[in-house]
Amino acid sequence: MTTVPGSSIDVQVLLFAQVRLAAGAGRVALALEAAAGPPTVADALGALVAVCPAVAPHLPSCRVALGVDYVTPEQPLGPGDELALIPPVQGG
Amino acid sequence: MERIVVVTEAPLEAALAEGVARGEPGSGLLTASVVADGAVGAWLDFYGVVRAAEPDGTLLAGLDYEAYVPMAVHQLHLLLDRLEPRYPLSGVAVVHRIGFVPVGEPSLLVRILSPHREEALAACAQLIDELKREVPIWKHPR
Repeated sequence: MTTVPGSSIDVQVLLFAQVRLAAGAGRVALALEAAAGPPTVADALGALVAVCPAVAPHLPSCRVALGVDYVTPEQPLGPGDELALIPPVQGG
Repeated sequence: MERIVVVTEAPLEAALAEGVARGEPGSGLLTASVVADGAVGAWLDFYGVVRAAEPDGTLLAGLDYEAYVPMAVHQLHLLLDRLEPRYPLSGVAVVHRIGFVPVGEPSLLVRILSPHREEALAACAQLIDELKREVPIWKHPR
């Protein structure tokens, strides 16, 4: 995905379980600075904490998904990407 | 290997039937036609059931299960992709219920059919271990 220098891109972050309850929302929209190249998952998490500080204590225990796959903090993002914060799972 | 993966608010057996009715593969897992060729020697059904008490003794009415459904279904398929080359299985069904599940009712059904019991038992254990690590489902005591 290419980005225009000096622009920003919009992404969504889905929140679940204790993170959703702490944030009081299941979805947060973020505009990420893209002037220096595509922002990463780590950039998105930084922006998320800035607008929603209540999620910060949960971040160390969370994994991140882009769409339906787990990704690393270095993963670059494109316009319209949908991330999900995945706290420790408890199925079964 | 026949397979079916369902994450739904419906009771487990109904959800399995609905998955088949929607045309998802795996109908043999419901109708037992998959055993008709005589190759299946082990039919394993595991039910995960909601317990009445938390580890600290707190009594519950049940558990509210929350899921990121599209990712849960995808991660369950990835998990089955990893099982398939490792164990000679004839079929696997995984049905996870979400929403409120009262105490005493099952939240999870894993059905495994295989030629011999060893691979069914080992695959079931691995599947549930990985489900509890990888699949985005959470529970809230009620």
